[in-house]
Amino acid sequence: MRLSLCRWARPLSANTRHDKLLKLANKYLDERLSLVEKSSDLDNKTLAVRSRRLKELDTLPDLYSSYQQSMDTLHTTEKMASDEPDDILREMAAAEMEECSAVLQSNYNSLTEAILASNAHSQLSPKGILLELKAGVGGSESALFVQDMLKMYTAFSDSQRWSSSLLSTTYVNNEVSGAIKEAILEIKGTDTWPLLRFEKGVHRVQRVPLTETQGRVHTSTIGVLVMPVVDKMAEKALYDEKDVRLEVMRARGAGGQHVNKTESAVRLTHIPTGIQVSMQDTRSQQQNRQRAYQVLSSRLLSKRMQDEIDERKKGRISQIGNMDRSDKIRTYNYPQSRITDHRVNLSLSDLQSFFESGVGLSWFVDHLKTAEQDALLDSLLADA
Amino acid sequence: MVDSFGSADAYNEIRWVRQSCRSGKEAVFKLGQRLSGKPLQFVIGNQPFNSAVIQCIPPTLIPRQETEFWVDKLIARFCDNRQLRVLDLCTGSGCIGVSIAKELHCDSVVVVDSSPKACKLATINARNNLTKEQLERFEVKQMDILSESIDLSSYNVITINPPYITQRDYKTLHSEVRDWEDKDALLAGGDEYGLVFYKRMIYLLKDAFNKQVWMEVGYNQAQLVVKLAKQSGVANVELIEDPFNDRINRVVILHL
Repeated sequence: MRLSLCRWARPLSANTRHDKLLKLANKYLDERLSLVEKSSDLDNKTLAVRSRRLKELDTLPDLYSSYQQSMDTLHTTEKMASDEPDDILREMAAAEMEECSAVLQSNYNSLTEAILASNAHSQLSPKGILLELKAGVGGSESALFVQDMLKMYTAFSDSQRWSSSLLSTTYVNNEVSGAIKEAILEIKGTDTWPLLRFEKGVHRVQRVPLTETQGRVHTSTIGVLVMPVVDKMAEKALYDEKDVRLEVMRARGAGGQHVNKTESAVRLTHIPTGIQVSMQDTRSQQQNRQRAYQVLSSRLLSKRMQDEIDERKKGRISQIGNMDRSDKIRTYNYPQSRITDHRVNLSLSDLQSFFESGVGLSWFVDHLKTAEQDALLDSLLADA
Repeated sequence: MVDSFGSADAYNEIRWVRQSCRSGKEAVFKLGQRLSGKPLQFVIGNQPFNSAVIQCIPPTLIPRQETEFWVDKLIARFCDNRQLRVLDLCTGSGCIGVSIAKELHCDSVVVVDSSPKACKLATINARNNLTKEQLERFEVKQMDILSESIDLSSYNVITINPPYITQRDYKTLHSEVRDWEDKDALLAGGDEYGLVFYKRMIYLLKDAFNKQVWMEVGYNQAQLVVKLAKQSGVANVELIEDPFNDRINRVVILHL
């Protein structure tokens, strides 16, 4: 895979990153200390809040000291490698440098994660995800692109040894090509959520559509939603059975013995939120119903998460550090064989392998993750 | 296929047919059958019905979703009961009786049909869907309840989805129904309202007590059946709406 046009939106030198992290770590360590020192004449509610917060910050001191240690070790080794008069010792130190910086990096990562975790309220590790793809601007070309993306995600999930299955597909009416207006792909496996949650947003494609006769390049979009799969036990907690209206669709005259219907579409409406799910993909009414409830739960959980994020954003001075609602997240340019992720401003130029097996997707994700962490640290610092 | 069924249904049907085939050749053959008007369930050979999969062989009536819907309600209502003794009349493919035997705690389930073909299919469907223990308590009987006498006293749940289509409606049925499914399973002889089986049921239930009788009815028959029941002294009658059409009552339940 050729990677080209690599450039960082905000180049960060290693030092500024470490400085930032140190500042933040100190801030939370101070917070922890002040909580520990607080006198015990607090009321129960405050006490509960205090102990919860203490628990969140619990791992910080240890992680902080290992981080400090590895930083010191690296500095001493570095110094030895340059100033040590003894040749053998100096060479040994130089040889150790690499290992030291690796340790430092890993401690940096753990500390970063701990700090971020102590500020995020819901930690999510679902068993799988639902990817919902919807055709957007661009008519049937957009629907064809839904199909291409669906293939790509399926191939990518195979390459990760995940299992994927198509839960629901809605075809474009009056279209013989099999273009898909809407599809929900279920992908199961560990790490599906951390790897694919960045796919949420608007994906733009620029190419000459199969249907175009004059060779003009069109720009179309599709929308992607990523929702965590909710397991059976947790489903019940997301909605009240009374709030869900179940309808079977397409009434037809006399019914009963008079007619033989083959489709068994169901539609669920969650009345408080107005969320609707229709499902018609299997011949079994029961299975359609189960799938519809599954999708409804995932939608409700996503909504709850989004509400939580919005709530937290309100209380924050800075608005950066949230890539969730960015509009256009990625452009697929066929004539130039280039894929650009606008959030990190990175491009890769092997469009074919990307669409054949998702090659390059994890590369994007790595950078997106780092960028998100940086942005989150930034926003935490700005709040400080 | 798109032309005959509309594109959404066509794609679904093509996919379902494909999924039921082992080879491309078989799929082409079956899609051809479908295009020539053979009902999808006969082409594929089965139909999901609640948690069971019911084999479908012409000409025995294909299980309907309206039926599936009320059987699901029945199962939900009796799921905590024990010692159920169930009788399913005009069973056809056996879908109602098999579904109940599969989901509920039954001491016995007896299914009855006048057609030998239906009885054979009901037996197959019981074998395909029930455990060994459930099968031991399951029985298929061939008899004509219109002409033969049957003792209903020992059952506490009775279900029946009898032929209820009138002579007049029968002529207007879609060819997929009329040409492929058993006339005897659809057409109710006797009076012009298609009530012959309900009249017979109410007669048979004259002195019955301590049971619920669930009867599926045609789109314009619920009120007539309720009237018949009231006339014969049944005080407690319940109706269940059709899930696809809220102006229709699909089931009449007699509480005896």
